[in-house]
Amino acid sequence: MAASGTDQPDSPRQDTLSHGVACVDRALRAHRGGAELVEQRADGEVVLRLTGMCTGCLFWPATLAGTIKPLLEHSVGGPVPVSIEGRRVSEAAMARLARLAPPLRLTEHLTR
Amino acid sequence: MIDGIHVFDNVIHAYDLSDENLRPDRADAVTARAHMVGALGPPRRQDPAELSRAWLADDMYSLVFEQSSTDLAMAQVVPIYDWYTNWFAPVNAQYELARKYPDRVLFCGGVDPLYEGLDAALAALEHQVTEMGARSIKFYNGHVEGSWACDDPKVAYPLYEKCLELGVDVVQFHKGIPFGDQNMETLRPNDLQKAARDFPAMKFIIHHLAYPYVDETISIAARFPNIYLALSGTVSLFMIAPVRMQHIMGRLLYEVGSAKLLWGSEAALVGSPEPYLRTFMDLAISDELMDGYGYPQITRADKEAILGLNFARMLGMDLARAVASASPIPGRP
Repeated sequence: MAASGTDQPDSPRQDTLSHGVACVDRALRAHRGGAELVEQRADGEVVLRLTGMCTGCLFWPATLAGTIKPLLEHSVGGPVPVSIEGRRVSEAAMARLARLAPPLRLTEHLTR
Repeated sequence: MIDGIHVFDNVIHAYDLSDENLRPDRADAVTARAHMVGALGPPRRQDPAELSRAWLADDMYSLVFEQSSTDLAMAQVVPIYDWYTNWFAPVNAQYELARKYPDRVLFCGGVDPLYEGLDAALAALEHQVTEMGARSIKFYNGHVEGSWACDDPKVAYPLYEKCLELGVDVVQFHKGIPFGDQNMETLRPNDLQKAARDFPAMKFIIHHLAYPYVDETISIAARFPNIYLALSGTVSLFMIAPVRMQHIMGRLLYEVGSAKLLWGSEAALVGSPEPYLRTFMDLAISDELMDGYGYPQITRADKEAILGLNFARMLGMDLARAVASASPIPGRP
């Protein structure tokens, strides 16, 4: 099972989700990276593709836990399970990230 | 089919390792053959005399289909001429295997632009595709003498252009695992990066994880959407070094993803693919490695993708339908 967050949220509307992904993409572009929406699965899981300098980056789990997931959830207003196309990491690694490196407090400007 | 999963082997070879195929002008041909059998052969050594022969279509059918769970396979030419008169895995032997068992075996041609020149390679490539039904082309760019770069616009690119022109959009490369005394650096995978950039419509398969250039290979496959990895030449590690294989598979799943990995047995040199298939099906990443290295667990869906779905998708095939319509294999339920 992908370590993507296993909450059971109501699926965000498509336009809300698109806006959230655009916010994530913009934030990652600050580091020459990016993200784009691949699909939203029937179970609500949002699958993203990493682009730019994020492609092939070894540290994608930190970006997922620290930036992508919190920013997307802040943007859509609720918990969203997120995974990265073609990438998986252990639950243990994600749990450790959550424990040792919680996401930074988000500022409103990132989701406008 | 193994445990309900279809098996589409990306690479088998009807080798010609006979004495008659050894080049008489190469004093090191016998040594090189022994090295190649050792490098790609099974962990439990068969009699070298058993391997050092020409493998015929019926031998291969028995080995791959009657003695294992494999459903479909691609027979690949290997254009290694350094020690072999008629190449390591000759064109006609692979073609004959596919011709004789067309619903089980696909033909992968092979050419070399420096063997008899680029024009001859282009003509052979066109013949193999249009007259012999090649679905893919195999390249071997590293030689003792006459190596070429996979991103050379004058030597390599015309071959890719010809492939695309003929409707072949899957090309394959032996990378890493150098043989004999050839320079190993010519078999680094790095020269496929520019090629993959310049030919986005082409799918490039790197074989053998380009061992020992595994780090580079993983980085390249992780970053280029049109670069895929065949596990060929590494399947023996499932038996020899299972924890190491957990590391390799864990890294591949973490950084590359199972959608870009292909099962490749390298039969006949490994013997029957069956014990490797069984070991792969039994593979699990340990809790210790998942915790310490962040590797995800390998799932049944991963194994299903790796064992056949990925390669079928690359070739535009419906795997279940292809298997269902193939002739029955004697002894199989």
